[in-house]
Amino acid sequence: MGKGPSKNKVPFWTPADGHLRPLLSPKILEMLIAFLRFLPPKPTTASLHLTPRKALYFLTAPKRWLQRTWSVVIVVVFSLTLGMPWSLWFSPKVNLSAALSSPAWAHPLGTDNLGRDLLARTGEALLGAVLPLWCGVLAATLLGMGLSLIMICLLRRQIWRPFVAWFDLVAAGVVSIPVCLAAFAWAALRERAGLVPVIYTLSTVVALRTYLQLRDLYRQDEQLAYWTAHAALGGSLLIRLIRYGLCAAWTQPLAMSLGFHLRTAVAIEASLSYLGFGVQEPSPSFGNMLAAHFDLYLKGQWYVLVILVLGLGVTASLPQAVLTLSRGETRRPRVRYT
Amino acid sequence: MSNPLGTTGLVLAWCLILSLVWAHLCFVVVAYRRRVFVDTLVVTRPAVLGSGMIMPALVAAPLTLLLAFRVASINLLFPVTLFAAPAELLRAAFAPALVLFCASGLGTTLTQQVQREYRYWQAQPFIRLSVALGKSAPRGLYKLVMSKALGSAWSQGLPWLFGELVVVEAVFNVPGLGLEAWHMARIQDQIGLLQCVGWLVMLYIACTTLTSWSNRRLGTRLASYG
Repeated sequence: MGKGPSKNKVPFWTPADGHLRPLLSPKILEMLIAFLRFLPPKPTTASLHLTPRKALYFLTAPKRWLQRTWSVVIVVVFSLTLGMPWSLWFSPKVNLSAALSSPAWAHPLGTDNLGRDLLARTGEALLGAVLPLWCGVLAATLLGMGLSLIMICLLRRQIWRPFVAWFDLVAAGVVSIPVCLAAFAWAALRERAGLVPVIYTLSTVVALRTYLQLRDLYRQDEQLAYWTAHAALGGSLLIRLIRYGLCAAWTQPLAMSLGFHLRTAVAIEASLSYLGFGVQEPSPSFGNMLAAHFDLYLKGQWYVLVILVLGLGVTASLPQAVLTLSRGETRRPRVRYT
Repeated sequence: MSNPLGTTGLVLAWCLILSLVWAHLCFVVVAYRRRVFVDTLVVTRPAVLGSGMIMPALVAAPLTLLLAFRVASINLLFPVTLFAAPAELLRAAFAPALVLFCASGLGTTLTQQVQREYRYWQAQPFIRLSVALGKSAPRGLYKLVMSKALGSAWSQGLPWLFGELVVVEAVFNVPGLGLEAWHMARIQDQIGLLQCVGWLVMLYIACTTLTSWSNRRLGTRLASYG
């Protein structure tokens, strides 16, 4: 048999019919297309569909990263200062021979003018002054929420409406008084300096502010479609307030105002202690520690002032930092290529 | 200066001047910069209830004093002398006013308000019409936005301004009403304390009344725009 071309083997180019046959089989082609679909197309400036919102996301990305990192740093520093038993390791007692020591292993943040360890004093200040204050503010917020629920329910009865209107007027009047001035005047007139008058004043104002805020939120939301639908179906007002309001739409504004109140409480307590109407020595507070060391910076002992001011700043920023972390990162918008 | 009311008035006047300057700067930035940057400013700024204390005065004031003293060798404490020149007093009241401006949150509130008002009024028909006729939108909006933003920012920031006044005066040793009230409280002079607090309250009420009156007047004028 002669060695001619085999009839079974199809050549790539058949001049007889003049058509190009596929180099790859259809199956391999399908697999290749499926693989290529997973690869992103090459973006070009002309084809990138970048809306202002997406551009904004990318422009603000470094700032958001910085905010989150800063928030983590604040939370970690605060937790370490509060959670560790520093007073067991570093003595917060008076030791005049070690007065105004610079930061060292024996005293990581140095000592104050009476030789007391500043780190231990700061931990005690957080535990003894800041935490009770925050507990008071939290309790006042809950009280304000309860008060607003009661008042909103009372509003449905005609007979209670004048009383609620009068209460609103009084609450608005009390809230418009500067909190710091009110606390200062209360402490000065009653001649009872300490943490308790500060907590009373702050709690009163915070409860009334929360009450007024919830009343405003209810006024905005009561005409919403799902609220009216629930009412038309015979649903209870209290359930609406809790389910649609407190547990849903009002959570974020309430959390923001709570953070603001916590921050304000720290600043006001420190201010009053600085002026001598808050926490009294020897109990530590940022305010009275600052007042005791304020003139030292002129003599070159500025690090005590800086440490205390930074401590106060970190403590005042903590509620905002926790809010930033709990809110989570904004959802990343999808960039569409066309 | 032996007049506490005058000294406090001086500090508050500086605050007002700072507010005007800051509002003007914000307006220029909002009106003449590209839109995406304006959006960036608006969205990324934390909207903490729109107003209030941003940095406690007890943090800002000592740091300012310390930095000025250590870095630039400037003593920012108020000159308490019998024959202090008015120019010196005017200059010395600037630092407390600046700290008060930052600590009371007036700066942040003003920034937010100017942005919000500009964006709102820019979309109104009368401004669109004037733009269509070839007039400049920022020029048409300047007075409106500035007055609205200043009015709202001051009405929101006034409680904080007066609240932080005592601390700022105490730290900078400014012989104003706040420092006087503090001294009276420390020596337990109830009558003197009541007088000082009474003056402060009257000043606060006067400022609040002025702000609300201007807001109301502006509201009736704006209603005429339809």
